[in-house]
Amino acid sequence: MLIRTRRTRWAAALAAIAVATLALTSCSDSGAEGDEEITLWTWPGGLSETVTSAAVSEFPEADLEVSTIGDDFKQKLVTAFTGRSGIPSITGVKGEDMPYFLQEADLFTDLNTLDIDDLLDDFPDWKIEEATTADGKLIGLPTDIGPTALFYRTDILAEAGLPTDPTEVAAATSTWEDYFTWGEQLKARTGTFLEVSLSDVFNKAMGQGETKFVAENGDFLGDTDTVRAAWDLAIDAWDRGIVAGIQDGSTDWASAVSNGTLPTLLGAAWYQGDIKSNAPDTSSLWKVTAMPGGPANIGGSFLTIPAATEDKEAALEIIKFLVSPENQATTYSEIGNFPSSISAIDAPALQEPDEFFGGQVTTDVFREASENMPTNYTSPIDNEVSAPYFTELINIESLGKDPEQAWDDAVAAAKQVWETAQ
Amino acid sequence: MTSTRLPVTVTESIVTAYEPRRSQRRSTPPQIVMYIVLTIGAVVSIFPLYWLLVMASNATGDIYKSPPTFVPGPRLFENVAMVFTRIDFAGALLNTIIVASSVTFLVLVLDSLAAFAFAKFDFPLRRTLFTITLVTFMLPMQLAVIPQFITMTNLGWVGELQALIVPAAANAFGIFWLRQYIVSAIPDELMDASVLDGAGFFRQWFAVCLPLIRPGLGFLGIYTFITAWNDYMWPLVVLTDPHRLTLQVATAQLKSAFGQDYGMVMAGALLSVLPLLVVFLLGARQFVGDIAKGAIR
Amino acid sequence: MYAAIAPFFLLFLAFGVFPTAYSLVLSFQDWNGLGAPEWVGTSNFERLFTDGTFWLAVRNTFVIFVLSTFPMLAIAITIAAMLNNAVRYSTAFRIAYFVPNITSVVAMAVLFGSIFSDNFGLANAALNAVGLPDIPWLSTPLGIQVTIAILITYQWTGYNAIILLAGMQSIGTEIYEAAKLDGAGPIRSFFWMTLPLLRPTILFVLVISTITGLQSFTEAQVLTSTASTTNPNSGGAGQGGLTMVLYFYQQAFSYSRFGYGAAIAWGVFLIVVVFTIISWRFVAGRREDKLSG
Repeated sequence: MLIRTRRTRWAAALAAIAVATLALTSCSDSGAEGDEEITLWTWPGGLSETVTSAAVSEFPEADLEVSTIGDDFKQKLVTAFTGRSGIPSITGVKGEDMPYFLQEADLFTDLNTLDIDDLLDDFPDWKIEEATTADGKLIGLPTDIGPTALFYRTDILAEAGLPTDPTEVAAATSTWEDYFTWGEQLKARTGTFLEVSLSDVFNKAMGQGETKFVAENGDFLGDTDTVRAAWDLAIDAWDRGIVAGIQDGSTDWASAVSNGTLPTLLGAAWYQGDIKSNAPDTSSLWKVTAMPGGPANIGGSFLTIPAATEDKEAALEIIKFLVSPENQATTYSEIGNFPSSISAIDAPALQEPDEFFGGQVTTDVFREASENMPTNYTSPIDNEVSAPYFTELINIESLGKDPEQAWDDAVAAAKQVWETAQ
Repeated sequence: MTSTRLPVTVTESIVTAYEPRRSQRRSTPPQIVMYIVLTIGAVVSIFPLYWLLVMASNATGDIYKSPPTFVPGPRLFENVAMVFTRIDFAGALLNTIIVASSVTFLVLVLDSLAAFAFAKFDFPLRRTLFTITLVTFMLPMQLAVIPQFITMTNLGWVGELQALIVPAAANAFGIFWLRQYIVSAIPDELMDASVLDGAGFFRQWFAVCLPLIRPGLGFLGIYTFITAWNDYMWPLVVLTDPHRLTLQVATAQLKSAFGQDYGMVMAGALLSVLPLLVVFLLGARQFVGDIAKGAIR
Repeated sequence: MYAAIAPFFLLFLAFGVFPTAYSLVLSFQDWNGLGAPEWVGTSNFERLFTDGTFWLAVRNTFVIFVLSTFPMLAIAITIAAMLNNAVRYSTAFRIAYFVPNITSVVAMAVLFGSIFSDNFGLANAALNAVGLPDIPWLSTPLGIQVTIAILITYQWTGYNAIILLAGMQSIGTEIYEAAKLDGAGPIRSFFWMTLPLLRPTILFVLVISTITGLQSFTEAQVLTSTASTTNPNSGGAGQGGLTMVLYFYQQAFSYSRFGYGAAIAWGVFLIVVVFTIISWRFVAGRREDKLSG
């Protein structure tokens, strides 16, 4: 009898949970539609936490809620759009995903219809063009740009008896050829690797070019000299044995950066954030200088307002706050995202020496890079068409696949992707 | 939609472990060797969980050391706190509890109703309907994922917990298994008696069927709960709102987004495993009591 | 009566039958979920047939399947046989062996990702400790496949052992007594009596392992996922961790190809059905041979 009562209670509890669930889920439904909460999506390292918290207190009436989404950001955003549900009021869009979303520009608010005239002058024209459709709709404002540089560990270079001053390092590594030769010395003397992976060399070299994998008129460029030259550079580095073959951003990468196995890294300004957060113990040992073969243009993101957002004005005010010169300066000092705002570059905060980089004023390096880097057209299918090249480069690293065979396979696979997309 | 995990046999045999063995065969290879091997196997089974605790309680820098530390460190609480600041982990825990409980409740109610009808009553199309149920629960999940996602789009459920709860309530396996259970657990005489008492179908279900199949419901419930708790692909597809994730999706996201902060990621993984583990270890005995009493009655 | 089965069947129609039928329709369409779907006839299936990446995924899946299923079966039978004889602490053993199956695949994949990490993982540290060199677990295709297979084996061996144990316990003790009288030792009676009588249970375990193994997804997805956006869900180094279902997921949801995704899902389904029948025949057929011979 006693058992029976206990069981009845158990069943009652379960029933209560189920009822509560239905009540809860339906509540949250009406709640989401009712109040004027503004939601913002970004990814780890997309925006500085100091700046987003400041925005939360700056706009109390907007009830701003910032979500950091890991994993595949673009996929989550596409899912929300496809599902027409849970779409954020403001969302970041990565530079490399922008061409894709430009095709679906109707999903976003045309910012030209809002009051942004006083803002536009502060951004470089080429960056604004990246977020503009052929018929002139502007769907995003840039948060940062991605000029690249060479990061290096002074302690390891000194150990190898190489100069550690940024100007001297830049002089010794001004071309890829010089850089690789220099890397061979480094490896011979310290046993360390110059490059993370073949994909990294390839990607950086592609970022230095004027064209990518698909032309603006839709032509396939995957077998052009530009791509082949970048590929050959990667293979050259491989043959010289200076590539570690580690996946960028993996835990193995983090440990190699921490323990000095990878004393040199090529990356955009925002890469500083990754280095600082993954290798905090190496503070003051790093320096930064110009990238071999000239600067590349990699990444650099936008903030957009989806078309479904009700209070577009409020959303725009928040974006304006986030990309204001002062806040972009704060963002740079905190996570290294290089300002898209021209006036932010001159902000006093950016002229401060950075302790992590041994007291170097890193802004100077990236400013110069940003003035000289190419701006290139990226097709909406560029990511997909380029994927086979990266896959095959990994095959060379991990399977010892013949590079020539790998090239042929990559071009064939890329062409197939390009054809299916026609 | 379906689960290929077949709970019944397993749980029953775990349970039989509590019953005294009727015959004791000794005469086997050197007993001591056998116990050593079994113990090594058990250690291998449990060790990864211990290792999870070790990593979750150490600073990330210590984990990179070689040779690694083999004892739990002092940083468990810092790492756990970090998990809660990085993502809405508390929300994910609550969501997972809501989803798993609701699915379990719905499956138990719907499946016992249908299984009772299939087991004890005759009606037109009974065989056909039962065969359809049987055949289709073999269909793999991925066939349904895309259309189900489109359905959720049209219902406006993308990102909502209903998207996880409602489809999972259609559990064909539960019907199949409960039907077997009801056939053997409820004597026809009892059914006849209740009809004489003037009980209708729902009354019979509630007053006769449910009390007699409680142990069966217990097993099905626990396993539905575990499956719902650990489900990954469908939540990964359909949950978009970062404040409405399940533990599995949240844990995977911790890894891909903040993967280099090892201690923190491992603390997240530990937290996602712990509740279910505790329920299982506590439940095992409770379970056994239930089944023993159920068998006596 | 119909009121009793109606709720289930309505849900079942909406979330079981309808999606399956709809996915067949989708497999003849080209659709990214945002615009309008377009009929493309059988071109998705033609593409599937010539898609090198799909066949790579098929190959990977079978390598993982073979690497996990057979060791798992062998270990599970050994454990079950010992548990069947162990008298003391058998409850504790059973619970310990069952625990890996309760822990979620995601959490364990996250954990195994660190244990098998190339540079500072526990697995390589252990190898080094006994004087063996590092194994590049997660940076070569075979390494990834072995790691996934170890993870699957870890999670499912105890589960299968307990099913096999249930099968062994249903074999009557009289037959062993008889064998003992005939002078058969324990090893002999295990191979000549237990195993043949256990065949239905082994068949069941093998079929379930085939169905789940050929559709493995979570292990590979979590182990090989990175924050990199260049090629999401592509299965890690050399795409070694790209299983059939992971490829399905990538095409359908990373690249929003609903039509092609549906075609892949049907391809996977066919492969699983054919292979399940083969593994069924393999065990069931041998039994018939034995009986007739």
